[in-house]
Amino acid sequence: MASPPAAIAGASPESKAQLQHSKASPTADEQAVQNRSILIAIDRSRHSERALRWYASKIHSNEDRVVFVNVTEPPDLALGFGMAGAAVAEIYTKAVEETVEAAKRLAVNVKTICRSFGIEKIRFLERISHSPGQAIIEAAEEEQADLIILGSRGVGVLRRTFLGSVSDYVLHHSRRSAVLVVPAEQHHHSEAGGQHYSVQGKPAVEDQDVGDQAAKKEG
Amino acid sequence: FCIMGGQSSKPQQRVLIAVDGSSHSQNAFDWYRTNLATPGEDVILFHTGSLPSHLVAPTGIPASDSDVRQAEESLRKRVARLEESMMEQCKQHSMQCRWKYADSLSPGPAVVDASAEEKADLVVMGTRGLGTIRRTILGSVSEFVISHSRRPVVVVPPPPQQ
Repeated sequence: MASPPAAIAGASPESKAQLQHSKASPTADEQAVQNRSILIAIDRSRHSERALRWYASKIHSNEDRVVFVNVTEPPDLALGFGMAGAAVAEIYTKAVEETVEAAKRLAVNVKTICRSFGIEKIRFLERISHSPGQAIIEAAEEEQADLIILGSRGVGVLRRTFLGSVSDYVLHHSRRSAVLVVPAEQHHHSEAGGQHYSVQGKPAVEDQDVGDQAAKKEG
Repeated sequence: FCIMGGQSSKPQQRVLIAVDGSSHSQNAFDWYRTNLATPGEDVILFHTGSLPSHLVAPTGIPASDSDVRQAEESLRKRVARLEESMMEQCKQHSMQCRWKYADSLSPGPAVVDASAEEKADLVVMGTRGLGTIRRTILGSVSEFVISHSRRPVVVVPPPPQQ
């Protein structure tokens, strides 16, 4: 592992010894975990933020090549004609601009989170596609990713499955390993991490725009 | 998840690898070893199996005691062989491994339960790979685990055909 041992309050002597051991005498396994290409699928949801934090805190090594891929779907182009056509073109342009701005805010938020983990070297791929899953798989091929990191929808106890359609697509079509970062174990009667459910069963804050939050913080 | 500021060192991780003696499960183990394994990680090799279902569930014809004993013996031998083979690989690669076996008729739920019981930070599974259409056949076990796991799961496809 290339990351230097951090001084953690309360770290046990055993874990400190382990850290020093891993720095001093690389094992065969350690040498193998080098120069990995990691592709992290990112969107504005809390799920992909969780996936990023999981990678950063549990998996990341300084020699990783970290690439983020953000896929947005093209804005719907409603056909209009005559005067309506002109208005539609304006709406479309505005929608594209908003998409670009949102992607920028997301990138800023991602950079901030990465920096907090000491991850500085990152790259972004921005893609527009009607099939985000397919775009992620293509990006993984381009980057020859050793691992694709996906956040699951994590809808919890109201629905049986944690899979979102994009994660589902990638897991089923990918020729490269992919990890599905599900939410941490939760009690049945409450949802951890701020995912509270309304009476209709739709998560109230599940898809909160993380990028916008960063923008607010920056002022 | 625990979030640490600045340069973080990884807290000791516990990884559960589902093994069944197949080539795709061996491939998943190899992938884990070369891409994720770090020293000090606690690896649980999890295998699940059962006697043939007709010997376990009641059927019209009662199974003879000797049939059951034979089946138990052959299961025990198969599991022991797999354990030996996997633990030997761990030893060769200086991995800290532990074998875990559970009887079950349904491997998918068994993997989910085992990973919850062990509070695994990660579950590693292999899949069979592509079917005749592009959508891959993950296998019923992988399908179940990725839909129901409460712990992160990595799905390792088979290596590309040479």
